[in-house]
Amino acid sequence: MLEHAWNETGPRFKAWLAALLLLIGIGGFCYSIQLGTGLGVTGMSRDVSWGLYIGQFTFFVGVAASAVMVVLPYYLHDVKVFGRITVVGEFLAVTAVIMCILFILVDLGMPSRLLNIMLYPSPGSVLFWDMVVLNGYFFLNLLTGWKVLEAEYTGIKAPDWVKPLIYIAIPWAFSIHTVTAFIYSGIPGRDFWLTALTAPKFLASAFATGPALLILISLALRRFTGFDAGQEAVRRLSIIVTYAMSITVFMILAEFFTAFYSQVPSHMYALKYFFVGLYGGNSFVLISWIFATLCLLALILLLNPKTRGDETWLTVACASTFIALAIEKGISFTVGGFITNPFGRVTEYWPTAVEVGIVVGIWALGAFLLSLFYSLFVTVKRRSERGIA
Amino acid sequence: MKKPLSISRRTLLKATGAAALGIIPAGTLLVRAAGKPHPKALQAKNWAMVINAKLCPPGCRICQEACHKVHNVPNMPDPKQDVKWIWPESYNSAFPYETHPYTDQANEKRAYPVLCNHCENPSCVRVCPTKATFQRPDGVVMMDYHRCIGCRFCMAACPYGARSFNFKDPRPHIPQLNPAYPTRTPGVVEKCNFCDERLAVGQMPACMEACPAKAILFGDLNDPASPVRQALASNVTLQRKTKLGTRPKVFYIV
Amino acid sequence: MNKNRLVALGLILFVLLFTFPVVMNLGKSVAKTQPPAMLQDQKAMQELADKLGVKNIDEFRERHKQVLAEWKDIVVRDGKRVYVTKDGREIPISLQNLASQPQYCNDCHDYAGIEKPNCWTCHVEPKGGAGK
Ligand code: SF4
Repeated sequence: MLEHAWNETGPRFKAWLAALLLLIGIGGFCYSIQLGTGLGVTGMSRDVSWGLYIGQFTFFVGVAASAVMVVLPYYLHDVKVFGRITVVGEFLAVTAVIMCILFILVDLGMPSRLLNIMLYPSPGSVLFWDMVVLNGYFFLNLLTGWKVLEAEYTGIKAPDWVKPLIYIAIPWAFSIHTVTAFIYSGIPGRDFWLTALTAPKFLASAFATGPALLILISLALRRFTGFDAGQEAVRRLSIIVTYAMSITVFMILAEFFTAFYSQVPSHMYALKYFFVGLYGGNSFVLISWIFATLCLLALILLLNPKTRGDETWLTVACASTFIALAIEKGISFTVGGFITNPFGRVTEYWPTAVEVGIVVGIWALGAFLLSLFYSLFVTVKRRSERGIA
Repeated sequence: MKKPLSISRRTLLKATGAAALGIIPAGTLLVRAAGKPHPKALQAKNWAMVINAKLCPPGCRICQEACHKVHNVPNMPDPKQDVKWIWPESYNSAFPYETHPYTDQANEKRAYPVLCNHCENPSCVRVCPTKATFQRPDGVVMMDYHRCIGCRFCMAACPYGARSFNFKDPRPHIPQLNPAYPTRTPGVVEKCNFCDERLAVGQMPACMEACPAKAILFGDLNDPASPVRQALASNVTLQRKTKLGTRPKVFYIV
Repeated sequence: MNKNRLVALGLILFVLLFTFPVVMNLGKSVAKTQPPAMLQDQKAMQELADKLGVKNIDEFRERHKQVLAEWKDIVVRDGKRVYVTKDGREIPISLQNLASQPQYCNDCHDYAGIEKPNCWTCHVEPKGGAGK
């Protein structure tokens, strides 16, 4: 089915792919600089030893997990309207996992030793388990997404072993983001991370981010390819975004309460650093307020049924949700754990051009893979709907 | 006589784990060849250190200089990406939750040497995905620089800021190379090793030997007769951040 | 037909991605035809084998990488400094002592068409070394 998909793409699509390839190239070039000199070319330091890479990794684990928000209703609650987009969600998950693995790879000081994680398995390490569950999730989604799509293409029912795999993938989705949260929330002395709320908050924000992205993708697919996910599917997704976003914001506010009512200094530091600056360090103040504003905007637009039902406003709401949570989980949350350092001082972090270049390259690679997947998907859909197999 | 058994069991477990993952690298299946300690090696059940900070004058860096020299610790140009094994901090920084604005002036000015605490319950060891950092039976928390993948999970997990990452090649920034000890490759984490390489051949830690004030004591925490235990029995001592449960083994007389 | 080709391509890409550390380390130089003179020096070669605790230079060639890895584990992970060979000899573990003439390592690796050992980027090269 691949060759048909490729033949049906237009010049606009090919130009888009070429542009992405250019960005991937730039990312690759930046990575070669980093390989040559070491991670010293990044903004990371002794005190802030994880930065944008690990933040992005965390964020995209969430995106990967959120595929479950279309798969679960469709398979467990028989929500038929999601039938047209479960595969869209599964491919989004596959792409996101690939991006996650790349974010880990570029963060390693010794990437050539990556296999040591498997050669010296350490079941006591959360990172080891994260590796295991991420790989498992990748194959589960790749396999089920592919088989379901192939079944549609050939018109022959998917083999029987696909169904159980789909059911396994559902709890598995929760596991990948939980384990990722445990990387942070099981560490003594980093009081911003050390809360049982981390895992639930990660899941809630992922279930806002992913469906918001799926709505944006669905609207884009309709605009550029004519494939329509269906108004009802978008409406249902927007309700999921609304609930998940409300819960996320609630949990964030709950953290503010605990920190500032208890007045325990180490719980207030990171929050103060984000919103007003701490000990002269204020590089996160601007993006934190952007985050807060976007959260508020998204909530207002989502909670009001009129704006939520209006496609333009919904687009704004979903974009705000996505950007806000990309800021929070994609960088702030990771850096917050390092405020203050173990000696009570603030060391500032901001990504360098090389770091940003690498991250842009990985985003472009994700968009590239996703575009290919979706062009394939749309072609198959079109053909099966026209009755050509 | 117990040793060979535990080694082969460990090897067996490792082999099973690898097999379960579907990869059986030839190297991991081999039983490790036998080794023997150096005839003069110093041995203990649980190495620990007591620092009498009352004897540490303001601005003193003698222990740091001695340590960094024997271990080829570089002076990186960017202080944010510096590498440190032992260095002085103020009382307020070493004990950030035990301070108040009215502490005695003399204490505030003292240089408190801080280093890896070789915790009895080390969070850095728990999180390492390759066992590149591990706890030896004698209580020393070690780094295997040949195995470290540079994920820096241990740096996030250490609540004492004891770990440094080699952000760039350290070689050009080592003032005077000590040929008896290796340097590190860019991309790995490093920290104080309680002078494992000196204990192994019968020498006490370099910082302790260098200190003119004899402020550093080193010995076996499990031996009531050791200088460490005697100092602990007869002085008021502090450990850093005890509430975290890591059980540090560097004690401070304040 | 077409599909099979694509699947094959995908598989190759996958294998490359996951083995890239191994692939990256594959030999880069081509073997030289002329063996270095030192390989002819039987006495020096036997001395080298003795220092590693192996029978002869053939076993040295076969196993030196593995023995060096064992040395690392014995020193770093067990805190011991003496290597006990299979036939009960005790060898002090010392890279400096073993490679007192590091150009042997480089010459031989060169001859075999393998990358030069990277020991000396961290371990300080003994005096009289041939450099990197
Ligand atoms: S002080 Fe830090 S690096 Fe040292 S053992 Fe404790 S947790 Fe690990």
